[in-house]
Amino acid sequence: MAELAIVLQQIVAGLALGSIYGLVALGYNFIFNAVGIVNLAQGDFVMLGGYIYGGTLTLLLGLPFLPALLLTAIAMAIFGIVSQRIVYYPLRDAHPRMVMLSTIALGIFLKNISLIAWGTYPVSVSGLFGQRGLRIAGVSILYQYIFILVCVIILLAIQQYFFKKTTLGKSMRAVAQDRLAAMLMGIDAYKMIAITFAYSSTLAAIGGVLLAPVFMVSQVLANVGLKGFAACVIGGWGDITGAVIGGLVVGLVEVFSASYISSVYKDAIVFAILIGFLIFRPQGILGRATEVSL
Amino acid sequence: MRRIVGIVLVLMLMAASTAYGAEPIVIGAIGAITGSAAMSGEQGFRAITLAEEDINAAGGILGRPVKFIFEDSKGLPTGGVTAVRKLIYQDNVVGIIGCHQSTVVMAVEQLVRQEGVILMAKGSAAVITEAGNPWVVRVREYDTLAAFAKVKHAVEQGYTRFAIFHNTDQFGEGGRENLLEALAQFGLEPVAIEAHNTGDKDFTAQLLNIRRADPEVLIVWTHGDEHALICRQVKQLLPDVVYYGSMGVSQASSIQMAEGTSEGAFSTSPYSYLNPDPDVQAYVAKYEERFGRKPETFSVLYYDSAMMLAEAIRRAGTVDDRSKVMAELKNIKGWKGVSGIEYSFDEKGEAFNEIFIVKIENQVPVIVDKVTID
Repeated sequence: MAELAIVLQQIVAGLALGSIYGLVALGYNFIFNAVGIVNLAQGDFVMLGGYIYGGTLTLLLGLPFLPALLLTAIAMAIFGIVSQRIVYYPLRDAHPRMVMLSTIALGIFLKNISLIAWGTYPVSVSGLFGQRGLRIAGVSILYQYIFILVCVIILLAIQQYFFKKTTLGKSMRAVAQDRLAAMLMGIDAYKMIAITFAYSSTLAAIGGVLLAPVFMVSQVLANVGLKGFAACVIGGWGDITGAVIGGLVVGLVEVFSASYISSVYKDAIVFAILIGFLIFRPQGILGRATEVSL
Repeated sequence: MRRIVGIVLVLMLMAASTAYGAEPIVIGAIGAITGSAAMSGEQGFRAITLAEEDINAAGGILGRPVKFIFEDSKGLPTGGVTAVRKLIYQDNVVGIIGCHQSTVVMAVEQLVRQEGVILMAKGSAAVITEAGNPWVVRVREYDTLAAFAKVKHAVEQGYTRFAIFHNTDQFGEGGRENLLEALAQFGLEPVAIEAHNTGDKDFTAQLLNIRRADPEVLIVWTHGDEHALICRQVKQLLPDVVYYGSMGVSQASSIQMAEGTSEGAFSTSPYSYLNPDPDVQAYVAKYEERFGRKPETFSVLYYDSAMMLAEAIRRAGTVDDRSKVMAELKNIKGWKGVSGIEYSFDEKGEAFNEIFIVKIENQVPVIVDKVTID
């Protein structure tokens, strides 16, 4: 019984972490689909979202949760458009490697600017639920973890609807599939790409807002970007469901390897699996076998 | 308004120092201003700022103004070496205050030994003074002392089942060794030992492994912000365990970040801002007025070190003969600092032989005991 409770507890933690990694992976995937590059600053976007929500809107301005969430999403959407204008647009005809380098630069810039703007102390916010949780038969679950899971499911549902049913969503998919053909059909491809960046930044922002009460906001929060990247590779680049499944796999592997193999090398184990996928199944669990040259 | 007053004061100080017309005495300091330990480095930086103002306002040292140069270690051994090289070769400092990280201290230890520059280390790993470096002193409680004090206090409360949860850096690994030795002195062995890396955010797996071993006491050996997260998760996963944290857990910032989950935790600390001692309170008031935060451990230790180094230079009557300054520094006995501790340097270069046991009660660290070693 005690052992069962412990295993359930591990699963809960793995799923909660994993759904956040999945969210970050989705952000990577949208930009990857739209312009064929990996935005290596995605984790820093999560951090920035967390800082705007926690440091500025909640602690400084004292806004309640929902307005703070909305404003963070809007701010990050604008930030996404501005940053694509700076790091992607001028390099749109260059090799994707160049754009990826410029996203690394953006990430470094964001880490340093956040030190200046929000200081060195981790920003601690309570969110909606603080440290309260449920306790059932020896398993304790933070309400925030449940909230994270619910939010990710809702986001996925909205996303499916948006991309399958709306004209804007269809246009974005068209640009992602074949930019030239989409432009010939009269779709403003660069506008769609800007919207894609805005959307993926908004996802990062939501990730930051959801994570802030659990992990606090500091420079280290940007490391979720690496886990999100692993989730993308494991789930399959460009695949929406794959990203979420990859995220959950990474979350569970992390918790279980820390429990049963080594807590010190848990990140190493995740990245070893990542490398294994890159070698033996580069298209990921769900991905299509396509040629991608980066 | 306060900022304007501050700027005016700084300008006046600058004018005053030019009035000395003498070459300033240059003292170095290092700490992490960026990176994951930046919180601690910033405390040191602020303390050094205050110390410089206070020393110059009191007329400087040997009739000369004093200038502190604070370099960023970035929280990395490599960053620390770069910073110390710059301080030694470019700024020609008498001595260096810092770093607060044992890993950085051990990385620069050879360099200061080779160049004969005083290093007032703030890392707490036992190895720092065991290296037998004549140029290194330590102004911080050291881990052997902290480990012994925690175990002694817990054993006196009647506990026998201990679990250890430590960081994997030099500080944490050393802490585990010191705890094992301290437990052995009481004829005890831990029921579980787990570890995590700096920057980890989720500790579920380790805490559940510890739960399997069913300990009464959990001794956590890590830094401030990790402590805050561990306290939160311990509250969820191990609600009945008695928590002993390293110094970081009782820092005001960690208590606030733990959101109430560190209530009841014990810690060893060289300092508590609640110490009613008037010297401590005067510093707390000055620091808070200036920076809007209560001083924390490194805010007092960097300040005390700067003041003691200034005193050693005064007594030596020179800055050119660093070994004379070092000898005078080690002669300092019973020096009362703004931390509330009386520092007496011993042969090994340790300034501490006593430490407070604090307990977090109503969200503040209250001194409940003091453990002294011979």
